[in-house]
Amino acid sequence: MIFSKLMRSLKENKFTISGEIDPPKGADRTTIIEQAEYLKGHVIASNVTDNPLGIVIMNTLVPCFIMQNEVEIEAVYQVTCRDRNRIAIQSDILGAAALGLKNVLALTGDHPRMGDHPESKAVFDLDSVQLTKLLRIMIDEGTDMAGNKLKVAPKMHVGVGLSPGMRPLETELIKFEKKIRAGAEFSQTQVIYDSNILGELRDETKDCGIPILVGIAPLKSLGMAKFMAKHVPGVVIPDDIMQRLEKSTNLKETTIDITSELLRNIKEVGFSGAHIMPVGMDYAVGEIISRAGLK
Amino acid sequence: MIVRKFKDSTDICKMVKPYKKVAIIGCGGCYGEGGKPGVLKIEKLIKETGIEVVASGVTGRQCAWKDRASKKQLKDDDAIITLARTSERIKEADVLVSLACGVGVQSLTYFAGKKAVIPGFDTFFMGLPEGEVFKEQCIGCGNCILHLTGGICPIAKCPKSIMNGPCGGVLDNSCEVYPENNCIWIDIYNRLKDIGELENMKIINNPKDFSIRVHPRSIR
Repeated sequence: MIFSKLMRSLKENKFTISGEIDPPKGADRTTIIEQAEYLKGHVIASNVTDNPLGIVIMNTLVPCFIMQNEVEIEAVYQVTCRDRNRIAIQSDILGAAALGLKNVLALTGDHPRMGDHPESKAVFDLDSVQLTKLLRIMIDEGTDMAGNKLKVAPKMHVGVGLSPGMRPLETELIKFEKKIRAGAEFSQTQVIYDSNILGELRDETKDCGIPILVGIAPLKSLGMAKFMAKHVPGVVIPDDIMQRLEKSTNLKETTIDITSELLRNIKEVGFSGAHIMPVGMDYAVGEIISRAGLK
Repeated sequence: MIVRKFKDSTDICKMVKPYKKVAIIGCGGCYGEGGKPGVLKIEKLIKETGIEVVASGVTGRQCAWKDRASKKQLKDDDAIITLARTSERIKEADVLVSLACGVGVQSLTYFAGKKAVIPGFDTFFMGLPEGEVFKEQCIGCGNCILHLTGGICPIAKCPKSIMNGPCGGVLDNSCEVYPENNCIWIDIYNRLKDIGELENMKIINNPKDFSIRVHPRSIR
């Protein structure tokens, strides 16, 4: 059974592009609409992040609902295990399904020590593999985790994360395979800039049985590129990209070019799709896609 | 071993300030500073504040009860006997400073009579010394899976207690939360490979039963 546009596109073997928006730090709905409007017509669905790094921003469900209903972009509801135990997660899933959300991305989540409230108590009642399994129980069995019948089961597709830059890669592949066995239906990856990592991921996952949307994010500046290469786990930025950013006289154009080339490459290598994290360059998403010739 | 650390000197002085006569009871259990040198250090500290130290000494393990309900202690570690042996004057004390973990302090509480008991340490975790530091090894979850993880515990050693493999926060083999530590799942992976049990990493470990971890726990 297919519930979402995202899943239908993937099942039809169309090259599928998802986007991402960040909930605002503040009780403000305008930035939600603004970010989503930039993505409209360019992506088939968009993730809404769940307090990345454990930084306090608006509850994920709200932008999911606003984006889906007012901008008409299907949401991928990111759910992490950082702040909620199994009771809270299940109750949020029921609420999300009642709001019409059709895709959920099951993540373990960053530790609160990484964010702006490092003193807070980390929950991690479940991990991403266990969360995936729980979602399958709710969707397929129509019960909660304790086996109690749900009056109406949620109808959602379950996605999972994948970190292609993880070393040794086998540790990540073992975990990814567990996520698939637990019932994952699609995957979105951490950003990949390096064609070797992209090729390696293709080789290692070609028989995995679920579609993979490879993560990309425009490198807004040389500073950002250097920061990501140094501090973001698993991210490798090849020298030629660094040099192009360094020599650029029009950074915005260069960034759009680089990102669209990465996007084209993802398709050529044979992945099911791409997941664009605009990190502040929402306005450029349409241009990135059309320059990649994927419009 | 139970890892503990001396409280700040000023905090210890503040805690003993309301009392006139102090006895200092070290603990001979778990390796650490609870033995004689620790007792002498605290004795000096308290004496400098002008408060009288009427007795001081080191017991066996302060926690070593055979049966607390009937107040039976293990013979070799009989804190009462040791205390009495340490000094008759202990009876004069109006407060006991325990240099033991939280368990030892409370153990002392049960036979302190009308004397108050003060902790000289903050108690942290069950751990082992590694180089200059002590590192947590076990959280006492009550459902051990060490046979599946190469004898290395991800519940205690992964900040997120992930049971099914590494998270995406691994930077150059290090844990993103504590960069001075290896990602414990990489250690587990390497260990499982070494002992030919990598298949174990493929097992989906189900969520823990936290109902058996509601404080205060008791087992038969």
